[in-house]
Amino acid sequence: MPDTSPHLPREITLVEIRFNSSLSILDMIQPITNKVCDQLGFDEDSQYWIWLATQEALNNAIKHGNKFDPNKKVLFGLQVDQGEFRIVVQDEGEGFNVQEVPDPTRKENLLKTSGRGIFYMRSFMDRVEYNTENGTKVTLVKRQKETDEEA
Amino acid sequence: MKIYHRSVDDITILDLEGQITIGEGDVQLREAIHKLVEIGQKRILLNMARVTYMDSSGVGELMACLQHIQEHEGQFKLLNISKKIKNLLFIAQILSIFEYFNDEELAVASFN
Repeated sequence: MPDTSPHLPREITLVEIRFNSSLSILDMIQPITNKVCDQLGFDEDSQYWIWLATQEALNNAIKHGNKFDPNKKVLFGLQVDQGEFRIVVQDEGEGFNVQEVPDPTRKENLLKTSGRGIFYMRSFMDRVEYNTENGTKVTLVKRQKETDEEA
Repeated sequence: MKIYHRSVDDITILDLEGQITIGEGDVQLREAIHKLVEIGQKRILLNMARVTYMDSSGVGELMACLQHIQEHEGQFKLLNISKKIKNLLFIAQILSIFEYFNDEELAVASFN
C-alpha cells in the first residue's frame, strides 16, 4: 500500500518522526531536540526554553488534537532553513481557531488552571505559525544566532 | 516525581523531586494536596528546590492547589523556586498571586 501520509520537505528537514499519541514518546524526543539545538549553537538556556515550547506543542497535539487516540499519529520534525530553526508538530485532529484561544494574562483569566501552553510557545520562540487545513500543524521558529563571517 | 512529607509545628512541608509536567507530577501533586486537605492539614509549604522542570500543566496545577487550599481556608506557600520556574510564573503574570520564599525558617514563620 502506498504511503499517503504527509512528509516534510527533505531538503530542509534534519529529523522526521511519526509517533502514536502517547506522552511517553517525549522522553525520546527531548534528547534529540536538545542535541540538534546544541549543534546549531543554542546555549543551555535557549535549549531549555526551546524544549519547553516544543513540549507544549507536543502536549497539545497528543491531548487536544488527537485526544490520546492511539490510532492517530503525530508528525514531528526539526528543520533548518535560511537561518531559522523550525520545529514542526502536526496532529490528525479536527483543528481549532487559534484566534479564539483566550489570552491567559487578561485579568479574568489569571486564576485559570489551564490555557497557558500557546502563550508560553509564543513567549519563548521568535514566531509560531499555525496551519489547520489538515489537522493542526504548528511550526515553532527560532532564529539562529548570527555568526561572524569568515574572512 | 517524588514527594516527601515532613512537618514543622502544624505546617506540612512537601519536598518535591523531579518534574511537574503533564501526566508526570501534576496528578501526583494534586492527589497529595487533596489528601492533606481531607485530613485537615491545610497549612502547606511546597519546597521546589529539587524540581528540575515544569510546563504549563505544572503551572496550572500550582494554581489549582492554591485555590483548593484557599477554598478550605488554608494557606499554601512556595519555597525555593528556581529562576526558570519563577520566570514561567512571572511572564504569565501570576507570580504575585503566590507567596514564595528562599529561606525555610522565614517561610515557616510566615504561617504564624
